[in-house]
Amino acid sequence: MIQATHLSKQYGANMALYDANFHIQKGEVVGFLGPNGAGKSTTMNMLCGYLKPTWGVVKIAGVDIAEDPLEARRHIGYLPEFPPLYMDMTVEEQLRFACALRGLPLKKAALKDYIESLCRRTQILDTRQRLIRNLSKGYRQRVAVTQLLVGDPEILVLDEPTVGLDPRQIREFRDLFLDLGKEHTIILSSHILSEISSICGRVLVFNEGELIADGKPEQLQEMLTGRKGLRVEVAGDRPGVLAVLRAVPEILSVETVQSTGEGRWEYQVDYPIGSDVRPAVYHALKATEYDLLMMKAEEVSLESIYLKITEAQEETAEEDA
Amino acid sequence: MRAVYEKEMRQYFHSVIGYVFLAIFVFINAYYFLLQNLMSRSGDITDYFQSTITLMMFLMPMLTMRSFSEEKKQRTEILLYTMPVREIQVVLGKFLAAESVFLIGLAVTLAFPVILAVCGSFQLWITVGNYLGIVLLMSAFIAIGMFVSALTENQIVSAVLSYVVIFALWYSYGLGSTIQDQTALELFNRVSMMGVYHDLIMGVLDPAGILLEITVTFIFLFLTVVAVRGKRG
Repeated sequence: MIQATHLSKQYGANMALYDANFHIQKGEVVGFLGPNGAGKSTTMNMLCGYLKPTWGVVKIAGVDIAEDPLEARRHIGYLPEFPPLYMDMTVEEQLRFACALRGLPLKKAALKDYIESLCRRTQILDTRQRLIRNLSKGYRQRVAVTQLLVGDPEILVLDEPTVGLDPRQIREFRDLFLDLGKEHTIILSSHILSEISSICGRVLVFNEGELIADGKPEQLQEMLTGRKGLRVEVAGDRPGVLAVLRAVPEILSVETVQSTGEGRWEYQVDYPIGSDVRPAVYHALKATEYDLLMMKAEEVSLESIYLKITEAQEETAEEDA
Repeated sequence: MRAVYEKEMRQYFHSVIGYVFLAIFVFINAYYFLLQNLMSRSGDITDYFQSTITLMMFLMPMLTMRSFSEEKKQRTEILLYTMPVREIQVVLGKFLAAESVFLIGLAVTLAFPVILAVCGSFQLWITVGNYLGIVLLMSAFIAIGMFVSALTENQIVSAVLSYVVIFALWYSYGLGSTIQDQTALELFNRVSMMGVYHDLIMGVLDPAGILLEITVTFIFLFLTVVAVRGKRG
């Protein structure tokens, strides 16, 4: 459905995106993850035909967007970071304008009904006659999403759609996206990581203008850090347990996470992808007086991945300074 | 194109700008008609048009200053360029809307030649020439204003720059008197917008001159499309 090949964008001496390659299938719901300035918005702007790539090709439904921008844009609805709404228009006027831009061949009465049905879906039926200027941030965002649905494009691209909304609105939006995801291909960028992991079946991670990882949310940590994590809970004195665990071959590092009770500690054990140290850990502990209480693969948390990326970035920045 | 045109018209008359423009436009025209024709008992419509034209030049950037600047500032332009419409349709829609507001104002002044005709003094070709001259010149100024507006996101900068360009074009005609060589002077007058305008208000409908003004308008509309595209390069 969406194919980006060697996609790059340069602003003067600054490389906003370098050589991104990805292919998004019909019906996929994909999250763009990365710190600010990582190239997420730039990529979205190029996918939607707003920016021209410096190099590379974007194909939407098989159509090269540089060759036939109009045909490609017909398949895409884009909600940029700042909702493109005219403050001096009413909600209905704004939506009529969007219908006209999409070239919907609707007569007056049919157009009114159509707009009404869209508004019902996003729950803004009561605000149709209000000026957008007078709407709250949450309602404006809903109007922008309604506008996105005009003409029912197959691909929806949303750049941080839930920024600035309250938790209840965020939940409503998430439900809406889950619902839309059943019949649309969706690309979504967000800072709210739980949102990405709950909606998206696939995540692309951007950092400093490069696409650094592409995969299922649960595979990401392994891909990014090159190591897997294990949580182990052991009863026994801490230095002794640490020494035993560190002596197990293939284990990269062992850290104490927290105390879980009298004489019990939880440890974080990292080991390389491609190996499994669990039997070795079990046998090592079994041979001692320490009791193994619990052992499980570390929960994948996008939060921690995100922090790792940003921390890495800060460290590089400090080194540069 | 129609979508953009209708949206622009709605915006002119949703905000005060359309009404303020028309009010000032009609006021200036009525005032000078009263002063130059009625009170001075002159039947020549050129007298009044010559006085108002410089003031009209001041008004045109009012119509075009927000054209693209405001879209950029409010970040609404992204909507126009990610929907299935061509840049040229956006530019033409906006141009025709500004042109329409101007023509509504000008239509009011059609009463003046009628008044003159009733009072017994009506020169058809001079009247036609004056109207044609104004429409062509102002269309070019609207196109120039739109081009400038596509370059900046600040309305005020957009208006001021439009004035600079328009006045440079307008007053460069005055420099013509310093040209000694007769052929050069003639050529200068032929390619000067003001020169063409002066021919027209005399009732001389020179096709080459008319073509020149239309060409200037189209060149600036084309440049606007280029500017709009270039920004997203």
